[in-house]
Amino acid sequence: MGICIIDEALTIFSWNKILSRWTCKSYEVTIRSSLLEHYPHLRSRRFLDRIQSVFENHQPCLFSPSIKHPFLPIPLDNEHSDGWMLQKTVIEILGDQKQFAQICVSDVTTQYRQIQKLRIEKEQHRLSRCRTQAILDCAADAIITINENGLIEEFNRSAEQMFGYKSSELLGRNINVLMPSPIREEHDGYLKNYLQTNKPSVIGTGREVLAQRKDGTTFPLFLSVSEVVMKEKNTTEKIRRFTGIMRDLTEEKRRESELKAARKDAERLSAFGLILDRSLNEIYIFDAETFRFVHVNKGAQENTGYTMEEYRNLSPLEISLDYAPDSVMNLVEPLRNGTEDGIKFTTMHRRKDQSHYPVEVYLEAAHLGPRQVYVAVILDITERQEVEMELRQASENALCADRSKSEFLANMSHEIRTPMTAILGFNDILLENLVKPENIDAAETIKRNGNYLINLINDILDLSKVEAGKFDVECIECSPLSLVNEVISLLKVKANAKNILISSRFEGAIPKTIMSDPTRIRQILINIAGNAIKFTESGSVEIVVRLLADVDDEPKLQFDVIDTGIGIPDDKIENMFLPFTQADNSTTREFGGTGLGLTICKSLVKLLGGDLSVSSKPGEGSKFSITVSTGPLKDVVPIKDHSESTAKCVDLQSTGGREKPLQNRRILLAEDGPDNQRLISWILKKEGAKVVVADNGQIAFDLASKANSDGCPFDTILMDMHMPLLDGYEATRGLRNSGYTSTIIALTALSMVEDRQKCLQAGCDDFATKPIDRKKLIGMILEHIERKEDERGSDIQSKAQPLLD
Amino acid sequence: MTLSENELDVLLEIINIGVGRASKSLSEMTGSRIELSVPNIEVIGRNGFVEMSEKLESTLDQSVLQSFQGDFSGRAVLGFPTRQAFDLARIVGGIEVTDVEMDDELFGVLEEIGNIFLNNVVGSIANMLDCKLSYMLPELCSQKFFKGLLKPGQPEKQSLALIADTSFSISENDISGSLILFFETNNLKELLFKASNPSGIVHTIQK
Repeated sequence: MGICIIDEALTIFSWNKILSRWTCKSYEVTIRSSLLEHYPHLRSRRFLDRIQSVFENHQPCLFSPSIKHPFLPIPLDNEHSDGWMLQKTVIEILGDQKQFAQICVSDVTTQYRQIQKLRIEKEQHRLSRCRTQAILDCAADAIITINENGLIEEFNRSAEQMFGYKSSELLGRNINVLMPSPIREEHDGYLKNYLQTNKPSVIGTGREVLAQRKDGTTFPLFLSVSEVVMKEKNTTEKIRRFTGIMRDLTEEKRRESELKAARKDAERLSAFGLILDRSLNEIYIFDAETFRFVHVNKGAQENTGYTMEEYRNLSPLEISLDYAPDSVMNLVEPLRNGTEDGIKFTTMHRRKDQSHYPVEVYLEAAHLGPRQVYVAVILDITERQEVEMELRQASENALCADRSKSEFLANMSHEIRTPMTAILGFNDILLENLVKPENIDAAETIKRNGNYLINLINDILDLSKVEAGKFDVECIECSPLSLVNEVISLLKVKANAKNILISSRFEGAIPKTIMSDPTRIRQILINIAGNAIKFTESGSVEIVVRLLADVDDEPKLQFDVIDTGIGIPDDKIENMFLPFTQADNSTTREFGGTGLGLTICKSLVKLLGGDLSVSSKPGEGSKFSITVSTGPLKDVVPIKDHSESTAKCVDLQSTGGREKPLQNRRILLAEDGPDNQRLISWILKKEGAKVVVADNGQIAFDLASKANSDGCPFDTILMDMHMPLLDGYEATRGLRNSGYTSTIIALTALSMVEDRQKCLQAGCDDFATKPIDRKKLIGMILEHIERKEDERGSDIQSKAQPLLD
Repeated sequence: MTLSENELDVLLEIINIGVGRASKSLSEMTGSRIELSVPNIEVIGRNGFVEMSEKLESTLDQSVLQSFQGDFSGRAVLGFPTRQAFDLARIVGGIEVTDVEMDDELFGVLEEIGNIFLNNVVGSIANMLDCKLSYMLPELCSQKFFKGLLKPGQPEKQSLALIADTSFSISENDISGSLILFFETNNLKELLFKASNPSGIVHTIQK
């Protein structure tokens, strides 16, 4: 401490050694001189005023060290600093006298320099700390520092984000909290081991480890650890710190596996892409989620014009005209939920040049590695569709042709039959009136030939119908007994003429009725038995009937026609059933016949549910066997005793002599053909009827209505179904609608089942087919008249009753 | 002892004269304009002592104390919260620091400022009251000083305590502290009375 004493006038009275040394002014130099002399700067207000106040107020004065204004400017040139001495100066009034003041100057240079140095160091440290912190904060990687005990000392922002902790939560906690088991339990051991042995297992190298977040999830990270060793001042102890820098590998790993998968995909695709290219079909593979094409084969690319690259941006929606997003989803639904393995459908595809072509698609679900895909194999069906169309056209044409043919035949038959009826009819009239034998012969010849022609036409029509599959058979109740007896009585004349015995025989129990077509059975039996008579010179023709034992539930009735004729050689039997052949060409000449009969019979028998077979011994005879289905026989009464089998055998030959059956009956004939008018009128008049003729349906209707309203209706109306102005159907309907209840019998040239139905539906009671069978017609008229009279009788009776009451 | 409002006004007047001088002195020292003001002054009654000492303990972290004795004796304290003390010492001393930490250099500056301020304040009172005083060297005291006020017997010593807010205005900085005057003798009132008579005051101002 440098000390000097001054008075109020600043005269120096004392100057100590230290001060001398500092100021290089000796005691001798300074004593009794003014302080201001030596240090003129003290003249400033700062110093003067304050020094004055010391003397005036006796107040102590304190001057703090300041480089700017040292009290005494003392230069220093030692190693601690260059510059001036820093001084703390205190000026106090001295003693009781209070005339003097003592100035104490303390050298605080070193102290203050140290302070400043410390300050700078602190600031540098602070800046350094800031910089480090900035780096830590900005780092994308997590940076964690731990001490020797594994406790966390630093935990940067990235670490907070990576692990999900706030740094405040983890400071001071063990680092192993960020590790999953079992590493967690082992870490302390590792650390201790390293501290002891200094053998690094992870220090300085980087490696992949598994870490654990706050929420418990684990994730991979890349870790590199470095050690910092610091030596503390004044100690021999080393402070060891470990800093870990971590990079979250989750994203990297995900990208890596994606890349690997993509590479694998590409490999797989190229491998069987070659196989797919071999196919001529178009093959498409598209992703089940995105619906974008993953691979298409060469065939597809060539056919549509798109390249594989272009396909990658397309989906089925762009290729097909039919697909909208919803409809595609519906389409693949069965594949999605597993109800179908593959679906097939046709649609229209669009090429790159916008042209269309029809395709058939077969779609399946599949896996391409881990990826779910759909595989579509597509066939261009342009050609197929064209062929299909051609076929359809041809089929339609054929049907058309067929229809025309049938219509033609039907028309032709009508056209031929009508004049034939007239020819035969008038021929009959002639026969009645001819006397000369040669004339009668001539008429008989005409008749024979006419019948032959009619039969031929019928046969041709039948055959064509059978061939066209248009032949319908009825299924009605009929009596086999009466059928057979009818046939026999019809053929008796012919047989008698050749002196051949024709008979029937029934073996076993025969059902009273069967469900079949009596007309056809009759036709067949007449044909076969007729042939038998034709080809037998002498002997017999027998028709044997028996019921065949049930085969399953289908009972059959068998008719055997056995003759003692010329027989048929074996090799000719086959050919017999072919159209227009007879066993021998010569037989036609000898025996006549159309040659169609057997063909038709065979087809008819088949339609009746049975079969036709022949066995023969030339020279001895033949046996023709026909079977027909009988329908269910559950409730049918079997007849054993055939003696009373004489069914209604209307012997129509014997009418002559008796009273005329149609005596006084009034009959309206509605018929437009003049020949048929004359013919049928003659037939009716012969039987005693009174005939009124109408040219067309309108006249018929008017006449019938008038007669009805007059109170004397016609007994029967014979209505030709095809007439001009108003045809038979309309006239009949009209009459029925107006309440006409008497008999109307239809006359029709058409013989198909539907036509008959039509007549009945129109309101007719019955029908007769042209050419008219005279006897049948008369019988029919009689039957209906009698029936109506019976009905009326009972009607009147029942109507009368209330009156009586 | 209590002071009337009038007496307080007079005292405040006297203090501000001293404060004005301290301003000048500080301005010269630093080379920049420093304005000081003591806008008001309060008497702390005995009852308020404990409360006051607690408050002072918590707010005044850095204080400079100067004792005086003579015709009247007591202690004068200029105190600041750390931040304010730091700013004052830094600005006045021209010391560049960024850390809010008082070190010896800063303490030294504070000491000098306190010395100038208190010398002028107490000196002004002494002059006005025509009294002779002798002073101790200023010393830095910590918060503990205020704790000491609670010691038994002490309140007896402090017969009068005055507290005032001080404001140091340096360029754009406003630093506020506290001035506390402890009078340990009972004669302040009569001294004031003596000074209040017209002749006394005129006499003093002239000086």
